[in-house]
Amino acid sequence: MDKVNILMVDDQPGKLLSYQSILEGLGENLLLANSGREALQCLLKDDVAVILLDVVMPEMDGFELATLIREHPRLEHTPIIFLTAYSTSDLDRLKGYELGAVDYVFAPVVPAILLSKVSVFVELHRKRQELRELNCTLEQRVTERTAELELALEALERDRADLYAMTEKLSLKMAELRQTQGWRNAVIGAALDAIVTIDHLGKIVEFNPAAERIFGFTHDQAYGQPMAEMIIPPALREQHSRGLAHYLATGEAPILGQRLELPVLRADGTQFSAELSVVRLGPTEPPLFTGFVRDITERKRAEAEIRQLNADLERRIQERTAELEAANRELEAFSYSVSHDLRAPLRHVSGFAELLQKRSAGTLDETCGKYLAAILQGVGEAGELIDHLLEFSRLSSTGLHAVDVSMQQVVAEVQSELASETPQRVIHWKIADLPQVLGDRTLLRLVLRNLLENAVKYTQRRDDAEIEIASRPRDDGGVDFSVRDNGAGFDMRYVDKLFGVFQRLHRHDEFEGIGIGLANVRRIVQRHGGRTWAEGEVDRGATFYFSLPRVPARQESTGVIE
Amino acid sequence: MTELRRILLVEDDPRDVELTLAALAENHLANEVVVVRDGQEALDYLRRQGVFKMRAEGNPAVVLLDLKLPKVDGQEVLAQIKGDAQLQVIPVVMLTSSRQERDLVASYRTGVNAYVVKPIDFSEFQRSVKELGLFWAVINESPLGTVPPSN
Repeated sequence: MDKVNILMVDDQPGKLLSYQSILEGLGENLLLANSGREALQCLLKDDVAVILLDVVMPEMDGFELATLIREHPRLEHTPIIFLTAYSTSDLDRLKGYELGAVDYVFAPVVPAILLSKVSVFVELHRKRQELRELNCTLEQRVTERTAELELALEALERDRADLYAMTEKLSLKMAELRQTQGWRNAVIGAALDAIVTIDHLGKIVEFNPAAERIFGFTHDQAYGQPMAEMIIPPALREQHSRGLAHYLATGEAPILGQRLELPVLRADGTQFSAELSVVRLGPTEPPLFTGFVRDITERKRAEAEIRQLNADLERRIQERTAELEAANRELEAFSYSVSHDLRAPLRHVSGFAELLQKRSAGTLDETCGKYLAAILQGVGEAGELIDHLLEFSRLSSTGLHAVDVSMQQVVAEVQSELASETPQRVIHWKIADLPQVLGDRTLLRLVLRNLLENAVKYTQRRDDAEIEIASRPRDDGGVDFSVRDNGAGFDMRYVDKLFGVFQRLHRHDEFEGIGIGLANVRRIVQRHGGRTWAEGEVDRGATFYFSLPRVPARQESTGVIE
Repeated sequence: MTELRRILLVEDDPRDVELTLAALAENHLANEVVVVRDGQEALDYLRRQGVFKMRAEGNPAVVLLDLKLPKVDGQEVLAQIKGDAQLQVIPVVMLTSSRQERDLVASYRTGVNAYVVKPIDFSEFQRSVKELGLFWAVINESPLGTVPPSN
């Protein structure tokens, strides 16, 4: 237990000493003051349990000091025991009570009385102090508890805010869910396909308007009914229930997510072709299955129609092909017939006219001789026409024997052939490097023979005849060949007629020819997959072009193109 | 001097016959020319059957055979000749107005000895006949028995 302070105030040190000796036994702190001033200083510094105050002192007597003490709020209730040598008087007592004094001890002091009175105040002080401490503790506990409560309150506030936020979210979710549900219903309602959902027992739990339309049952008629009995044809029901049971037992269902084509039933018992796909609806247990069913009767019919049309088309193509083949055979027979039957009488005319010419030598007049010569010339030309016509028709019917052809070599051959046939001509030949191509050598030679022969023919009136043969690679991998001359040329207005059969742009007495060469050129080039064209200007020469498709880098084997 | 042997001309068109004979005459080929008018007659002649049963023995020096013939056509006659051990040695020259390759190929496959497209130009034809006649009827020795002129 802490010691308490006991202040003793007396101007006489001897008295102080005697009090001190009386109170020492209490074991408290004894503070001594020789004057009111010292006492006040001491009181301001220390907390004092009781003050022993000598009433009679110089400067400031005990009552004055007590008055000052009482004026200090902290000391207002501090007990004071006046020590006075005076005999009890009403005045003193009154003064003391008025001043709140607590007790008096008269001198000479009886040690036991002083001791007991001080003890009471010390005890009282202690009790007060304990009470104060207790109060203090209580106060602190209240503060702590308040703080705790405040914390708890804050936590509660936070929880409440969280709860509020959660509620907000939840209501949003609910709204979304309601919206999603709304969408789902709208989608299902507007779907063109029948949407039918069944539970694990096979009972219908959803039957959209399209399903009503397609199957002929109302939603209310269908709801809760076993689907198999409503829309699956009897022959397939067993399979359906087996499949469902198998899925429920094993989780395996080969049809889930597949596109199937099956016959299904309408309310009126009629059957139609449907395309359907079945999915498991979400992860619910027990599972729900949704089937999307489309009436494909119309599509089936269209498919059948297309098949029929295709078959018809195929048949018509075959018929047409057969017709064309027959026509082709007829044409060949015709050519054959022409070659024999038309040539024979011409030969006879020619033969007998010639015999006549021999036998009548000198007997016919000049006019008759001219007639005879005209007959022979006409017959000769007719024969030539027939020969070329036959050649032209043969070009269309024979297969191409495709090999690597050195165009350089072919040009060289044709050029030397023409040079030997026209020894009197002086022609300046300019032949560029020409590539190899894949084609029928005989036919390509015929192309060049025709083009070079033309060039030679139409430059016959030039003293400085020049023929240039060149080639140029095409973007598509093919090659363009060109044969240019500085001869008679032609009018571009008639360019379309150049490659026609028996089309000639020059009068016979200008240049000989029957007008079949370029038609043959075009036909041969076309059969090789290429094309022909020409540029020219009257008296400024002509350039004939032909293209051949893609040149093989190296083609060892030979083959037949057809 | 080598005896002139007969030439068998198989030709259905009388004008072609006349022209051929004229051409032969123009070339001063004096061989006797036996003319038959269709494939069957040609085979009868060669096999000495039918109306030719009584003819003298011996194969002609050369057969000038038209491709297009009534009854048995030229190709068939050629096939028969080349398939007959007695006749296959006789030189056969196809005379035809066709230039079509298939005729050529088909003819060579059955062993024709020469093939001539009768040119419309008579003088050309004459030249062909001259060359053929000289070669087959005069210069070339036939390994088998020859037929002397009947007159």
